Amino acid sequence: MSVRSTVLAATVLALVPAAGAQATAPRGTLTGLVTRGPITPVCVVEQPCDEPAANVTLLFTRNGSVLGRTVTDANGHYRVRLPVGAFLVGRPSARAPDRRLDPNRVRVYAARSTRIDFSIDTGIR
Amino acid sequence: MRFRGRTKLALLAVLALAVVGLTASAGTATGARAGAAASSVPLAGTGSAQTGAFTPWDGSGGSEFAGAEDEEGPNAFDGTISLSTGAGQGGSVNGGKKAKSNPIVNTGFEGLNFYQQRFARGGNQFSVEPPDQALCVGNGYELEAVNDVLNIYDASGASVLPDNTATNIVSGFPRNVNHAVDLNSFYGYPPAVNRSTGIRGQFVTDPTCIYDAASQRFYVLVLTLEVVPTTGAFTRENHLDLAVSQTSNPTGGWNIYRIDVTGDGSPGNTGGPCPCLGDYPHIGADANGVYLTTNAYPWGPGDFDGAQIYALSKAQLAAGAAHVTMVHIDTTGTVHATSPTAQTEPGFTVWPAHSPGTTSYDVDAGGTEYFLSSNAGEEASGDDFTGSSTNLVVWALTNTSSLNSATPNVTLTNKVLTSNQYGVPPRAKQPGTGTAPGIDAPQGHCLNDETTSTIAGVGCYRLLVSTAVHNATKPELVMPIDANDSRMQQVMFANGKLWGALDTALNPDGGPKRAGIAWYIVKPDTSSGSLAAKLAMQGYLGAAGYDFTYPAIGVTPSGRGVMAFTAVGDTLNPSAAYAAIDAQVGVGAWNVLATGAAVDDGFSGYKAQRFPAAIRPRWGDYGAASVDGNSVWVASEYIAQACNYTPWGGPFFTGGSGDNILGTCGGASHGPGARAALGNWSTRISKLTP
Repeated sequence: MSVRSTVLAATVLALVPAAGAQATAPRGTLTGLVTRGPITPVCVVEQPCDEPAANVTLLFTRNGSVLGRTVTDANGHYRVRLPVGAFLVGRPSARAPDRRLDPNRVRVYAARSTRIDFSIDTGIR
Repeated sequence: MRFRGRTKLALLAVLALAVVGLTASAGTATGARAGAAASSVPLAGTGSAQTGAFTPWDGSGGSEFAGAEDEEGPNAFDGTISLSTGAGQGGSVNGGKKAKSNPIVNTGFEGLNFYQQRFARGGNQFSVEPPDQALCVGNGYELEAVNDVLNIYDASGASVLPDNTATNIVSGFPRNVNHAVDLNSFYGYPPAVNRSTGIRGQFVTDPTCIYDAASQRFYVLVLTLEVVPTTGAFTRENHLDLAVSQTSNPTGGWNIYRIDVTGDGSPGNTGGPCPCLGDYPHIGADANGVYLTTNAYPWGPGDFDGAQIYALSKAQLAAGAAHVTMVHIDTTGTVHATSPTAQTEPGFTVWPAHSPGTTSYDVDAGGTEYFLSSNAGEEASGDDFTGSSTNLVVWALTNTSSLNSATPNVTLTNKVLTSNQYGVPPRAKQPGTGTAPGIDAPQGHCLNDETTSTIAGVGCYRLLVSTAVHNATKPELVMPIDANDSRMQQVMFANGKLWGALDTALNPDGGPKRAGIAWYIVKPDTSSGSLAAKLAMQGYLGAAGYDFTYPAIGVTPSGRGVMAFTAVGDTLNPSAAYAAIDAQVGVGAWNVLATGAAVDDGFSGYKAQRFPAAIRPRWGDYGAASVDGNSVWVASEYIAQACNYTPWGGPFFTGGSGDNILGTCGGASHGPGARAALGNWSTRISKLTP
């Protein structure tokens, strides 16, 4: 996990092209780590109960429109530039708000990079 | 993650070639058509509730205090489910009739706890959360199991297992774990971890059990994950281990049967999302069979592989047969719930019913075993996943008497009933949630502390995590604890009815959202040869300022019941609680069986212990209830004992004194401790006469 900063540069980034006024709207950046867990039924202190969620697509929607998307890299890291304001976040397979994703509501601030880590609940107990 | 509902139809068609029994559609609401495959499970070995060989842990080495990782929780349903509070301490939605069940609390005692589990087998155990409650009572014995330890008590609550204190040496002193035996020993495996060498044994988890009065046998089920001994890495091979007592005396010998669930139990299933994990195993029984169910999750990202049902001949299990007939049924594609996409979905947490006594079974349709499940979870609702539902799924496996024949021919059907709305609950708030842990939460207090002088330097956190992790994660807060999702919890078939409950979001008195309980009493019928079912009663239990989690219902043959659960609130530490349940007034007022002595102070709720992953303060994952005659025994997780900061630190704080193991509060006499450094869960066992 200590290599996070270097891995971020390699994060796959796939912004949905914004249209009209949104193209010139102020933007901000979200970065962070996406994990999935539990990966075992019981948690043991010495070993991870979750793992980086690789190749996971996150959609950022507002008023039913997808305004941005990103795909995590092999280490679960992501980076996405978005218009400022609030978004629902989810995976393509879940209707927004994605109740297996925590958090599933985020806010983007103008000209600022904000770290937000997401966790996907596997359902394993 | 996508969940396969329709994608496995092709596989089902293939399975049909090996079908032993096929079903017919069950009415307009839903029907089911499930593939079933018969096989034989060999007797894998024998065991006993005796501690196996081990090398005593001297207290040094290991990585327990080096920091680890964990995860976040599900998002709560964000709608409103109103509940008006009724009489007594809690909400009851049905009133006016005289209650049939009026429980009297006969006895209660503390069951297994974090200290006992951590220091069983000479301390060659892990610190684990949550406990996962198992309890089964019969023939004068109460057998309790949790992750990852087991005990057997008499009616007074005294352990009847051999006293192993003298040989249970940890850090140079005998440790009193109240005779508890680790589950690895019980199933014949090496220690979970050899603390001297680091070599790992099998990863045993999710215990659950029943006592079947008709066969006079105890049945204890776990999921066992195979690991690479030198690293602890999972090989992905996993199996259900079913231990069956050789007599009605659980302190004697046991027969052990192993069922490989790596391929979800389907012979040769190497396609689809598997290899899979046979998660959340549970057990039930009818007159003819013993039924094991799992949720088959893929190892790693992939489609949920459906709830799996394993039906075994009870007579053969009870006799200790060298080979036991088993039918495996995959529930994928069998639930036809009304949904926007009209898709077919798999079952999820299809909990098998157990019946009290010897005459409560349903013998219609050649013998019937019932199950209940819910479908608010993503696993069960697929592309229609919203986190809430108004569906209750009733399942029937008929012609179970054929399990005792050479050619079993069982049929699985289901029916979707319309129920009150339920949804994923929020986490349960403890006193002080969102504030800095006080001295009564010593692990959390320690992780924040930068001034206490310790043997590791100034700052208590140094005893647990590195400075880098401490700086990256501080401050720690008292966290709300896991309140489950909305999966079905323990199911009973008694007095001709199915009884079940699940965790849900509620708005008691129209106020803030809390965790509550949705309960159901269903009248099923297979006398016509097909499944009919109707909701006899349903309702919610909740209370303003409180969260209720992990319900477990026990009902006597006469229909008098008790619902046990954990109660926690703005001013109530995690406590063991109960409410009466019957089919006349439903659920009555709630009461506390044992009041929590402190907040949950477990490692899974602290950032520094899970860094860099998010946290999930684990609790549950289920309670237990067991009927013995006219009594209902219940067990729930709670916090039994307080252990403040100074005695927790003991001699590890400069000038301090006490136990030479951090965090036990065992004192200079070296125990028995109230907890261990990284956790303080306990369990409460109570006997009630409803």
